[in-house]
Amino acid sequence: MLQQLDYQIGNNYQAVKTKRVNVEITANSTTNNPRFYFPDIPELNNVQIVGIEAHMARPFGALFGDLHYNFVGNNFWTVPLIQFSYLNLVNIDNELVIQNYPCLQLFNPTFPNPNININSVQKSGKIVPIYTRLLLRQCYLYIATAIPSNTTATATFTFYHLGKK
Amino acid sequence: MKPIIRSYLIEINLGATVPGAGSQIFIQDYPTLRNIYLCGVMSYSSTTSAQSPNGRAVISAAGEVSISATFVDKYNQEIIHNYPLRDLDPYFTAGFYRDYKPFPLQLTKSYITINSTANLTANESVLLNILYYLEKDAATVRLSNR
Repeated sequence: MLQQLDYQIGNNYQAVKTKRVNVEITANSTTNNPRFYFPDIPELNNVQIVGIEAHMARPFGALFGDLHYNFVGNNFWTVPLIQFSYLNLVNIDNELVIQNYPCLQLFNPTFPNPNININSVQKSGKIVPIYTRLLLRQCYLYIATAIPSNTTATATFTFYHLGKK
Repeated sequence: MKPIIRSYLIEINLGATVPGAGSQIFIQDYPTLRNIYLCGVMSYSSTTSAQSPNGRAVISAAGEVSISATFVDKYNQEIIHNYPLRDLDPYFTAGFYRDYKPFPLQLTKSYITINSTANLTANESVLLNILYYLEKDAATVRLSNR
C-alpha cells in the first residue's frame, strides 16, 4: 500500500508557530547514562510538529554558536555534551517514534564551506523535518556517557508546529 | 528532505579486530525494524556522535570513507548497493539527508562493506539512522506529502 503512494517530493509544510523548549541537564553526583525528560508543555501536546531544531552555545571551538545565554545568564549546552546526547520522541499514541536521534544533527552543522559557513558557526541552516504529534512529557534526552557531579547545562530546542486545529 | 515519520538508530560494531578489506558485516536483527518500509538513511561519524548509545566509540569522519552500505528488500534485491557512508552523513552533504522511494526492508540481509581498513579502529561502531514507515502510517504519510 505504501509503495502505491505518490512519491514525496519534500517537506512543503510551513510552520505556523515555533516554541523554544529547554531541558535542564543537572546532576549533584556523577551519573551514568542518564535520561532527562522534557517538561510538559500543553501548547505542544498533540499539535502537528513539522520540524525540530537544536541550538547550542559553542560548536567545534568556534567562539559562539547560535544561542549563547539562557535567561539567567548561564551557557546553553555545547560540544562535547551535545555530541553524547540523543533525542527520543514519543508520539501521542505512546509509541517511541524517534529513537536515539543524535542531537547535534538537529543543530545541523556542516563541513566548513565558505559558501555556507556563517560566522564560523558551521550551521547548514536546514531544519530537520519531523512529522508527528508528540506527548512531550514522555520524550527525553539520553546522554550516552557519565556526566560529572555538579553538572548544570541547558539543552534547548525549537519546535516548529502548525498550532492547535 | 521528506519529513521524518519514524527513525531508529542502529549500531554495527566492527569487532575486536577490524575486518579486512572486502569484508561484509551483516546488520543484526532489530525487532522494531521488521516489516518496515525504508525511506531514508543517515550515517554519523564521531564528529556528530562522540559515543554510541551503547557506549562505544564511533568511526571517525575519515573512517567513513572506508565503508559503504547495501540495503536489501524482502525480495532479496539489493535496492541500495554499496552506497558510500560518507554520502549518507548530513555533516558532509550540506545538512541534507538521503531520501529513498519506500521499499520493504530486510534488515538482516543488509550489510556494510569494508572497502579499506584505513582510519578504522577495532571496537568502533558504525551508526546508521534508519528512517522508516509502518504500514499503518499510510494515512500519515499521505498527509505529510503535499
